[in-house]
Amino acid sequence: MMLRSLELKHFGKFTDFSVDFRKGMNLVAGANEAGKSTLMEAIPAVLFGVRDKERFRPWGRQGDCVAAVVFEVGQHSVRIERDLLSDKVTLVESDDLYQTLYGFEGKVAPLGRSADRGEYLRQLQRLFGIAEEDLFRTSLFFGQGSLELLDQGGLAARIKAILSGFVEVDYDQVLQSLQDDYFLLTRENPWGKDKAKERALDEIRARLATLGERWQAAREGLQQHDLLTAEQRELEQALARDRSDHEKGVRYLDWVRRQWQLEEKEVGLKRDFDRVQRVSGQVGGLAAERQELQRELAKTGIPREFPDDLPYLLGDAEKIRRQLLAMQSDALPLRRALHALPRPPWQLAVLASILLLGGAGLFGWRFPDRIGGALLLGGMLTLTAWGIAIWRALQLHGIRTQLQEQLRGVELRREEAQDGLEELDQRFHQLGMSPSAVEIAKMQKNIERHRQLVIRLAEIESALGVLDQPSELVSEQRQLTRELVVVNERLEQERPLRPDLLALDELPEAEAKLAALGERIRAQEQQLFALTRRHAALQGELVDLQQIEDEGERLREEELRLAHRKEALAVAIDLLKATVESYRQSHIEQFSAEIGQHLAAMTHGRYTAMRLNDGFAIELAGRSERWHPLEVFSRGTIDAVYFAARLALTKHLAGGHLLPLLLDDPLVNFDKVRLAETLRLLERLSSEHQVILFSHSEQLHKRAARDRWHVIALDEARAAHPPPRNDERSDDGGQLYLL
Amino acid sequence: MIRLLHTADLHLDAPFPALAEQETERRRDFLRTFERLVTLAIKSEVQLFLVAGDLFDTPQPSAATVGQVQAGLKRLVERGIRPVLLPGTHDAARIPNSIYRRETFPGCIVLTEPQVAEPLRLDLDGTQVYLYGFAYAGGTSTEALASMTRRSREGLHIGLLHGSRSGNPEWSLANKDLPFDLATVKGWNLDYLALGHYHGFELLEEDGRVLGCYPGTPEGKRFGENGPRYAALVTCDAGRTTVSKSVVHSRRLEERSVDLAGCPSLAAICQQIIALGAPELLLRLTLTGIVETPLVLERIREECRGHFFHLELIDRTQLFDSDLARRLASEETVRGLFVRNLRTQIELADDPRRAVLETALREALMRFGRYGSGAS
Repeated sequence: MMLRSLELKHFGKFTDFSVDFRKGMNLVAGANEAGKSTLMEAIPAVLFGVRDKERFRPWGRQGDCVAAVVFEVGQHSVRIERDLLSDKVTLVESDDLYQTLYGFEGKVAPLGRSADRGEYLRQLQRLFGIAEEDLFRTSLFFGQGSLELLDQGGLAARIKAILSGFVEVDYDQVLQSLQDDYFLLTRENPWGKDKAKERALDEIRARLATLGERWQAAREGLQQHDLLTAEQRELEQALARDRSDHEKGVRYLDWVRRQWQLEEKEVGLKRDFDRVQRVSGQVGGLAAERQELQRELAKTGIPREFPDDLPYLLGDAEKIRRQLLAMQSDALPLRRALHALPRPPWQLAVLASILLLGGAGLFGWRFPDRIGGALLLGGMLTLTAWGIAIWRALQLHGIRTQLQEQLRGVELRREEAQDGLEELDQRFHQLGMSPSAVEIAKMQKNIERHRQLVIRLAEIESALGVLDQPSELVSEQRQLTRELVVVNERLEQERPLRPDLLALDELPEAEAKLAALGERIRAQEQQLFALTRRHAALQGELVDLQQIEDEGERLREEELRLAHRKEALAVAIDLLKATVESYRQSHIEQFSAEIGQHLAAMTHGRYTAMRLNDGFAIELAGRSERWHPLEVFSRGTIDAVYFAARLALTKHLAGGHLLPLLLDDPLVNFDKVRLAETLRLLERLSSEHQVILFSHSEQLHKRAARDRWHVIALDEARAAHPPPRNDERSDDGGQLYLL
Repeated sequence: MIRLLHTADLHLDAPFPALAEQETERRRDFLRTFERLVTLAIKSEVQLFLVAGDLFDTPQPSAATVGQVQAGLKRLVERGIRPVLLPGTHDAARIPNSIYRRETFPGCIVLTEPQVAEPLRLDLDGTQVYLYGFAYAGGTSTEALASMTRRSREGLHIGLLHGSRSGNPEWSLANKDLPFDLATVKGWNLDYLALGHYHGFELLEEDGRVLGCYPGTPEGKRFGENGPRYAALVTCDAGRTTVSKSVVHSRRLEERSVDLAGCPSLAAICQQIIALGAPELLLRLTLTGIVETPLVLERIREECRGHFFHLELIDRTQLFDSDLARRLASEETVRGLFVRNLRTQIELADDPRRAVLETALREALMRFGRYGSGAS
C-alpha cells in the first residue's frame, strides 16, 4: 500500500497544492518553514480530522479548508477528502478502471459517536488496518528526532507503549494510574501489603464505623433514657402508691387506735359510771336510811339532841301525870255524882201549873158557874206543885254544894299538878318536844331506841360525810352519761366501718409494718432522687439519632459509590495485569519473530534472532549464540533494530498491511556514518514500504538525486502552480526518488 | 365545621452537602416555602395550622431560622390562626436543648407530652375542637398510640401523628419509627389525623371516608420527592372531612434519564441535557445509551452550568458496545486484548457485576483517551 498523492486547498500555507508520491523512497525537501511538517500532518488530518479547527485554517480566510489523500491499496485506489472545518468526509474506493467500488460521504468528527463516523472508521480499519489516529502516528509516523530515543530504555518504553496500544504511556503507566486512583480510594491492597494511611473509602468506612458506634451509643443512651424514664415513672407511681398507702395506714392505725381509745374510754366511763352509780346508790341508801332513821327518830318524839335531865323530867312528868290521873279518877266519881244529880223539877212545876191553870180555865169556860171553884182548886193545886218543886230544889242544891266542895279540893290538887306539868311542858317546849303525855310516854318508852338510832344516824352521817355529795355525784353522773353518749355515738357511727377491727394486740405489728413502709418510701425517695439525677445526666448526653442516621445514609451512599469505583478499578487493574500477562505469552514471541525477520532483511541476515525480555528490552543473539543487551551493539545495529521493531509494530498493528512510513527529519542530528547506515536501511525498507522522508538537509537532497529517489522540492512545488506532474510514475516501482 | 392547613416535614435547616455553593440558597428555598405555607393559611382563612413533625431538620436549628419561623407563626397568630406544632423525629423534643424546650412559640400549641392524657380542647368560632398528639420519645409506643383514641362524642377530634404507616410506599424504604396501621387509625375514630414522617402525599381513606393524610414534604428534600409538593387544605366537619392539595414548593426535583446514543459530540450531549433544563430545577439525570468515548462528567456539568439549579449526573452509559470498544477489540495490542477480555466478561456477567465491569472499562478507556489523545 502506498500514498499516491496529497491535495491541499486553503490548508495552512497552502492555498491550492497537490503532490504525488511514488513507491519506494520519496523525499520532500524544503527549507525550514517551507511547510514540510504541515504537509506531513495533513495526512492524519485528512484521515482523522483535527480537534483544533483553526490549526490549518489559513490566516484571515473564511471558507473551506480541504485536504485529500489518495492511497493505492492493492489494485484499488482510495481517495479520502475532508473539509477540516466541517469534518465533511468523502471516501471513494475505485478499481484500476476507475470504477467506484465503494463510496462514503458523511460527517466524521475527530471525536464522538455517529453512524457515519462508525462506518468511516470501519472502512479505515478495513483498508489500512488502523483506524486510530494514535496508532497511526505511533506506527508509521516518525517525528523529528524520534530516532534519538534509541537508547535501550527509550526503545523498550516505546515498544511497550505501542504494544499497549497507547502512545505516550504504556500499560504500566495506565496500570499505575489505575492503581493511583485505586489507592486514593482505599488502603486495602489485594496485590500486596496494605497501605498504612487511610484513604477516602477507609475514611468513610471509619467514619461510618464511628458513626455506627455513636448511633449505637446514642440508641443505647436513648433506650437507657427510655428505660430510666419508665423506671422513674414506675418508681414515682410506686412511691405515690406507697405514700398513699402509708398515709392511709397511718390514718387507719390512728383510727384503730382511736377506736381502741374510745373503747377504753367507754369502758372507763362505764366503770366510772358504775362506780358513781354504786356510790350514788350507797349514798341514796344511806340517805334513805338516814331519812328513815330521822323519821323514826322523829317518831320517837325526841329531838335528836336532848338535855341530860330529860329522863328525869320525863319521870317527873310521868309522876305528875299519874297524880293527875289519880286525881282525875278521884274527880270523876264526884263529877259523875254531880252530873247525876237531877235537875230541880222546874219544868214539871211549870207544866203542872199550865195544865192545872189550863184545866181550870177550860172548866170555867164550860161551866162558867163553877169558875170560881175551879180557879181556887186549880190555884191550890198549882201552889202544891210549886211547893214540892222548891223543896226538891233545895235538897238538890245541898248535895251539889257538897259535891262541889269535894271537887274543888280535887281540882286544886290537880291544878297544882297541872302547874308542875306545865312547867315541865314548858321545858319540853323549850326542848322542842311535844309535851303531850302520850308523847312523853312514848319518849320514855323510845329513849333507848332513840339512843340507838342516834348512834346509827351518826354512823350513817359519818359515812355520808366520807362519800361524795349526791349533788356532785349527780353532776358527775350526768357528765359521765354525756361523755358516754358521745363515745357511744362515735362508736356507733364507726361501727359499720369496723366489721373486723384490727385487734389491739395486732396493732404493734401493724405499726411496725407501717414503719417499714415508711422506711421503704424513704429508700424509694432516695432511689428516685438518684434516678432523677442519672436521668438528667443521661438527658444531657442524648444526641439526635436522626441526624446520625441521616449522616450515615449520606456516608453509605458515598461509600457505595466509592466501593463500586474501587471494585471497578480493582477489576480493571486485575484484568489489565492478566491481559498483559496473556498478551506477553501469546504475542511477544510472534512479535519478536517479526522483528527478527525485518532485522534479518535490514542487516542482510547478519542478525536474525532477537527477543524481548520482561521489560521489553531487546536482546540480540550475537555470533556466539548468546543473548546480549542491545547497548553492546553498534549504533547502526541499534538503529536497525529500532526500525525493525517499528516495522514489525506497524505491520502487527495494521493487521499485515504494509503502510507507508512518514519520517519528518528524523535523521537531522545523525553523523555521517550513522546517516549513511540509516539511509541504507531505509532504502532496503523501501522495497516493501513506501518511505516518505521530509527533510531540509542538502546532504540528503544530494543523496536522493544520486540514488534517484522521488524528490518533491517544496519551494518549487509551491512555486510551480499547478505542481509538476512526474511522468516517471509508471516505472518507478522499487525505486527511491530524490528531489 | 373548621378549616385547617396541614403540613409536615418542612426540614428547615437541612444540610445539603451535595449542593455545595448552592446549599445556602437551597436552605433559603425551604424558608420561602414555609413563608408560602403561612401565606396560604392566611389566604385560605383556615383556623388551624398543623405541623405534624419535623418542622426543623435538627433539634437545634439556627437562631436565624427559628427567628423567621417565629415571625411566620406570629403572623398566623395575629390573624387568629392557631398554629399547632408537633415535634417529629428530626426535631425530637426529648433531645436536650431541643428547640421545643429552649424556645417559646407564643400563641402556638406545642404538643410535647409523651402521651395524650386528655385531648386539648379549643373553641374555634363556637366549634369545640379536641386535639390529640404526643411527642414521640422512642421505645414502645403502644400506650402512646392508644392514647389517641377519641374520648367523647361531641365536637371535632383532630389528631397529629409523626409516624410510619405500614403499607405506605415508603414503609419498606425508610425508618419504621412509631409504626401503626390503617386499622389502628380507624379504631381511634378521629375526624381527621394529620400525619407526618413519610415524604410523599398519601390520603388515608376508607369507604370514601377520609381518615387522615400525609401531606408529604412541602419542599422536596432529596431525590425521590419529585415533582410538585403539596400542603393539605382540610375542611373538617362531623363525619365529613375533605382534603384538597395545594402546591407549595419553591423548587422542583426531578429524576430523569436521557439516552445519549447517537450524540456525536460533547456539545451535542450537553445540548440534549440542556434541553431538559429549567433554572429552578434540581435534576438527577441518568445518562444511558451507548457512547463512543467515556464521558467526563465534570465537563458536562461545567457546560450545563446555569441551566439548572442543580444537576446530578449518573453515568450509566455503555461503552462496551461502542464502536470504539469494537475497534479497540480488533487491535492486536494490550488494550485490544483488554477490551476483548472485558467484553467477554461483560457479556457473561449478571447485572451488578456488569455495572462494575462497565465502570472498569470506562475507567480504563478514559485513561486510554487521556493519554492517547494528546499525542498529536
